[in-house]
Amino acid sequence: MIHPNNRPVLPLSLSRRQLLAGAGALAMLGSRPANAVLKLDITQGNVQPMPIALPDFISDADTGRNVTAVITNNLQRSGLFAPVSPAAFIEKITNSDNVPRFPDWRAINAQALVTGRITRQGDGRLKAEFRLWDVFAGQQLDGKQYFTTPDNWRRIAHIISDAIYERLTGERGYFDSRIVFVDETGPKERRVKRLAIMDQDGAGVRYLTRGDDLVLTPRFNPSTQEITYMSYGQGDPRVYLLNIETGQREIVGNFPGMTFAPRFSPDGQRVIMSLQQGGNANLFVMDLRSKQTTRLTDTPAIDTAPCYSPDGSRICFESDRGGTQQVYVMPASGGPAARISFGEGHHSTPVWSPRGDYIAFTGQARGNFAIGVLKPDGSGERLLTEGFHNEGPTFAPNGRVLMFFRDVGQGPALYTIDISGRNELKVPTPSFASDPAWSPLLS
Amino acid sequence: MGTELNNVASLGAPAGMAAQLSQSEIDALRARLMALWSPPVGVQDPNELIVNITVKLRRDGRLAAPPFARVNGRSVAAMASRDSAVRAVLTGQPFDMLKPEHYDNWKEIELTFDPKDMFRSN
Repeated sequence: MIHPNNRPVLPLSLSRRQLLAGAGALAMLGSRPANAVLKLDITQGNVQPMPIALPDFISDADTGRNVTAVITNNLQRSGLFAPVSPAAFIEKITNSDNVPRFPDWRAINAQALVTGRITRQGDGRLKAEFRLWDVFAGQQLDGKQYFTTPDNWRRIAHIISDAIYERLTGERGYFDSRIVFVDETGPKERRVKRLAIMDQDGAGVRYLTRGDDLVLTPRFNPSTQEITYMSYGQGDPRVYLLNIETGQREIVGNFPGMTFAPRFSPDGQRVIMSLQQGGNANLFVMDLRSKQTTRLTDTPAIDTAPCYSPDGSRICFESDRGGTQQVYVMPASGGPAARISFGEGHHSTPVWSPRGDYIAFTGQARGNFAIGVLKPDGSGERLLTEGFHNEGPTFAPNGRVLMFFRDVGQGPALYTIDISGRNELKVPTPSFASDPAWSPLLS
Repeated sequence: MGTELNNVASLGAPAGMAAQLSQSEIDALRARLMALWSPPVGVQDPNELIVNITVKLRRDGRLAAPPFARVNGRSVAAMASRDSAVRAVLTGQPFDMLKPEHYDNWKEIELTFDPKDMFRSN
């Protein structure tokens, strides 16, 4: 074990501070015994996508090729991997159990290699297996097998993508997840809005409502197959629960007034929302089983867009109690709220990262809308996007990627961006799309 | 004629204290490893990413033995960081920026990979 604060001690009269002043170097000033070990600090790397080779999984029919295509697309879109073109492959993989000819893969500069196989079992199930290889070290890094029904091949591809991602980056994956969003069709003045759900890569779009009512802010329950959302049915906007599997729908609570911006608690037992009565809006939380409701804020202001921290102990929300919309944090049971956003302009739609380390928001300044992040203590605020409209961030399950929507005139579309501000990509949807929410990992 | 030569100590004397490794050789070595090292930077605890590698080199700048790497703990992040640092050392060979006449000074190198300069906030 090494301890990060135990820097090597140098046998020289110069102090460590003087030596470290030169860009983290351990300078060779003065004399040094000839057989002492040279010590060198590397304090920066570069963030280059890792070249990875993904030959088609072996199978009969197209399943192997399809699975490989989904994995390749996932890894490429993450921005952290650069799949090597199959046209460059030298070795042809015919048996995923065999040790690869590593020199063939080093020759094309692949740093990692994935081989795999899909076979149909006697009982009709698919067996999917993969091996992840470190080309330069010449060894296997990971290998797993999965059994599933044949129509589940996409989920297997996402689960394998997550395993590869996690082993090579050291972070939890995010590919085996879904997006719920508002699908928008029709002319701008008569838009039809439907709730839709799809895999995070855009595949498998399904519509959950018919478009009769205006729907907004769909959000996942972290532990069940439920969504909460807001709908303008007949009259006041109301918060609803919708079961994805059964399609069953119910109103959350029976509040005298308009309810907005619902979200589930991390344990899925409660829904927190904003209730507007008269000119102001306050936060309420309802226990889904007991139906008991608790008021959390009581101010002559608009308090809305609440979001729990991943451990459920705190809530961030948007309030204009100080004059402009800003982000506040308070204990989940209510109590004094502290403002945390002090950067230029307004800050709204806060959402807490599943990793707990950031809160993302929609920032508005000088007529532009941008996606930004800041730490829960208010420090480290930075904007991730450019342009004049970007709104409604939602975090991937690993807290590493954000999805949001942007409307540059014709209609809104979904985009993703890495939390470092790099790799902005458009997400394919059948039509215009807005208000995305990212599910937890399905597995 | 007895003109006075400059009194800068000569580099590259055969042995002992005067065979000094220059700052430029060290900088070039660091630059190469920096260019090859891709640590997983999105992780929550940067201390997990610190890798300590002891490298023994031959005179031709290639590894004399497999690099010996140590990390803090056994988390996936630590292993990924270790793999990335080892990969940087393996692909960086031969370390031809290190001069043969200074071999005694660089035949064994202890590298500490610590991505602390990659985590900046505004």
